Amino acid sequence: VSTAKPLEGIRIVDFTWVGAGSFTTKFFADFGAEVIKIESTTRPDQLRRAEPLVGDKGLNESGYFANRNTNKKSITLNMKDPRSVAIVKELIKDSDIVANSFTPNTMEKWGLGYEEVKKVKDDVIYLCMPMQGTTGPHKDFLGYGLTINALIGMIHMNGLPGRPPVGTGTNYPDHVPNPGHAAFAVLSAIEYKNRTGEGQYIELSQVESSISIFPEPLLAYLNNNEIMEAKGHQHPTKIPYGIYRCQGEDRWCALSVGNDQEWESLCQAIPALRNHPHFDTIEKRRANEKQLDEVISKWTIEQTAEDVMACLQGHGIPSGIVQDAEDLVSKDKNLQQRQFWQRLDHAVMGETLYHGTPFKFNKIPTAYRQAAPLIGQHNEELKKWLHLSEEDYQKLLDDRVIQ
Amino acid sequence: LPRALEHLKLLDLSQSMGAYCSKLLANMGADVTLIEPLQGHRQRSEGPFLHNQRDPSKSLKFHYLHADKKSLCMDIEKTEGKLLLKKMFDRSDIVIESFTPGYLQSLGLSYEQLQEEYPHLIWCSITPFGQFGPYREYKADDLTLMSMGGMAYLAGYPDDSPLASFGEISYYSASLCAAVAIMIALQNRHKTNAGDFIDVSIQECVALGTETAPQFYDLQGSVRKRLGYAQREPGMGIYPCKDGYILFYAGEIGGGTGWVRLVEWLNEEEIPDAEQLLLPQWRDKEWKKKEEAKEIFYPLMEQFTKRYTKDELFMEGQRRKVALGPINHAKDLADSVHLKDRQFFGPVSQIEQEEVLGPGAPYRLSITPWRIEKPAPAQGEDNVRILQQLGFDDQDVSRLKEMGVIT
Repeated sequence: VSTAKPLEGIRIVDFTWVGAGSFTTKFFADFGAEVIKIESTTRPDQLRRAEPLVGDKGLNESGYFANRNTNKKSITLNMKDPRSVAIVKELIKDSDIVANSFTPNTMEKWGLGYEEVKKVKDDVIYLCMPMQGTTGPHKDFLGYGLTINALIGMIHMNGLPGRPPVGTGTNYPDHVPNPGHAAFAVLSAIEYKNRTGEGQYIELSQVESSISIFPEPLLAYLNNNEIMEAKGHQHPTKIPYGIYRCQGEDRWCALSVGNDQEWESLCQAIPALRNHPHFDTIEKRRANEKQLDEVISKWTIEQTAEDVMACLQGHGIPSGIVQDAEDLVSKDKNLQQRQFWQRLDHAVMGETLYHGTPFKFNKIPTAYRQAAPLIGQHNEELKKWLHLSEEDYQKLLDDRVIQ
Repeated sequence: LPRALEHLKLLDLSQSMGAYCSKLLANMGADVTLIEPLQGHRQRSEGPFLHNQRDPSKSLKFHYLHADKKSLCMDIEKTEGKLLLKKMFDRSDIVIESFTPGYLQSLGLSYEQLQEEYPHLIWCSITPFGQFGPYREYKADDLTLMSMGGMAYLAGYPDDSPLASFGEISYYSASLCAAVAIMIALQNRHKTNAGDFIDVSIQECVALGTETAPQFYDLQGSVRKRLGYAQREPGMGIYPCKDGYILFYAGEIGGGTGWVRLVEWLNEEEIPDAEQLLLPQWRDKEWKKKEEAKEIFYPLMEQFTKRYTKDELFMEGQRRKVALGPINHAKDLADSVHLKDRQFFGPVSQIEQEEVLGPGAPYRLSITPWRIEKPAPAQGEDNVRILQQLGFDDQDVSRLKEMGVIT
């Protein structure tokens, strides 16, 4: 079994917190980089108190936090004390990357803006990823994944005509678009530094990064002056195309028919569609869409979602159960065989569930090594990193510089 | 200005699923060649189209996704095509593809069959359910993957079906994860001098978007359901305003920001009965989770939000440090003073003489900035040039055309 750690030797001084930033540096930690989270006990990462919680008091009990912080280290510093800033600068001297997801000027107030950091680490790669970027009239605005969903039009585009829109129901930009873009940008900067020895400054506006993966409404407006509206499950060429109710409580199966061959196969699977005069051309299927959906629903409601999918897949029709958390974690055989879910033993939470990496390599392992760090768990390592004597370290503790 | 990835060559055989992945690398400077099937890339026939003209040369989506790439239009199933593709592998660093597992093997073109010949290649497969597992050959598209990956179940109205998002975001998620994985494999290649095979499962990329639903199930045994536009708790939900809707995310510790400041705001606005929100009970998490609390709160909030436009609420809320965002549509974004100031939207490609406008840089790098250097290619635009670079002469090119290997 390979133990390759492609990012070993890279060290990140990590000020990111909450959703997107933490997931960005997780990619690095999972593949061998040393990621040192700089935390504060007085203003801890909100996610340390975010549900689901195992207990209800501490800062080491959140399943939300744990899932985003595998393989990282945590130290706790009082950043208002100039000695903390000096400690961070010492760490940065031996690091490659400094990352933060604060609103602009937070790092600058501490004297840790890019220009200051460059003075101690000339070739640093410096990532800042505030919600709206570091320039522009809204640069200081605060938000979360869900407010980004609102801002970028993702909520507007998801709903049914005549009803308020609903969006994705999650902080989606925090989970993939922003960490994905940020990690890719930093890795590209590393690749450039490998060749030239030069570091650089990276600014990522989480709003702009999220719009980049949701371009269609903007393309339609900017080029055609057309405002797209939410239409539920409507596809320009596929029909039927939707989510159909199956037997049981809140059980559903999606299906999608994109060409004549798939339509013929669907007719084989659902006898009531065969030779039906209202459905024999795609134009008629579109004109009689409501009736078409009713006929399909009558068929799906009599069977379990599992049976519907098995039958339709047997006929070569794109289809899939609308899986809930229980399906994903304890029933899906594909995820099981691929060992997608990982369980790690955490000092306070015990053994809990983590999302795995969504890709596998032939030569690089993807099994996580360590659960998320307790707050300040790695403070003692500062002695080693900064060559501090026991007395000096104790003094920093006594003075609450190290919290 | 230098480009971060200008030393890399990538072949993209992935059609829709990896289109954004190769865009990410192309816009950082990688030399990206689309291998287009003879009938053309699927996305050429997908809208929106310029001026709504359903013409394969006018797909705005294709132009957004494929600017800065080259096009080699060819038949990879013919013997001569296979040889040509292998010559391309030889000069490439990265291959991405989305074929159903087993298909390339049947052509003798799978990574397994070729890895000894091309040991430097980083080969990234992006498929619905991955290369192994019982569902690997299942037919899928964005809708069914959003369903199987668990995002659809969390979205939609409680009184209607779950909802898969507009916009093929499963493919974008997968493309982003693939690009990160490719860069990780590249770092490993620097250390070991060897390429690698990457198996991206789109279902798993979607599952990353299920937030903490799996952890709630694991830690509390509860199955998270869709809420629609209903309040998650008081102050966290979608509310109607004068000209549309606004999303408030004004919770406290562990979720959202600004509950106390929102209550102050409601009282300054003299919303009838809003004083009760000052009682200690309204800072109790357990109480705020109750339906009763949400039902008391909603009408107060609605009275308030309906007095203003979404932009008025957004500006004043941000001034007060309350987390909130307007439910924008595309025009709101195009008109945004902030995005204009940052010049985020701009030309991304060109169709005949017209510029195609779209979203610009997803990130800004100081030394090696994101940029687009040329419009999306016409189908097979680079056929001849690429063949010449590979050492084919005019006769060879005509012969390959006659044989139907290239267009």
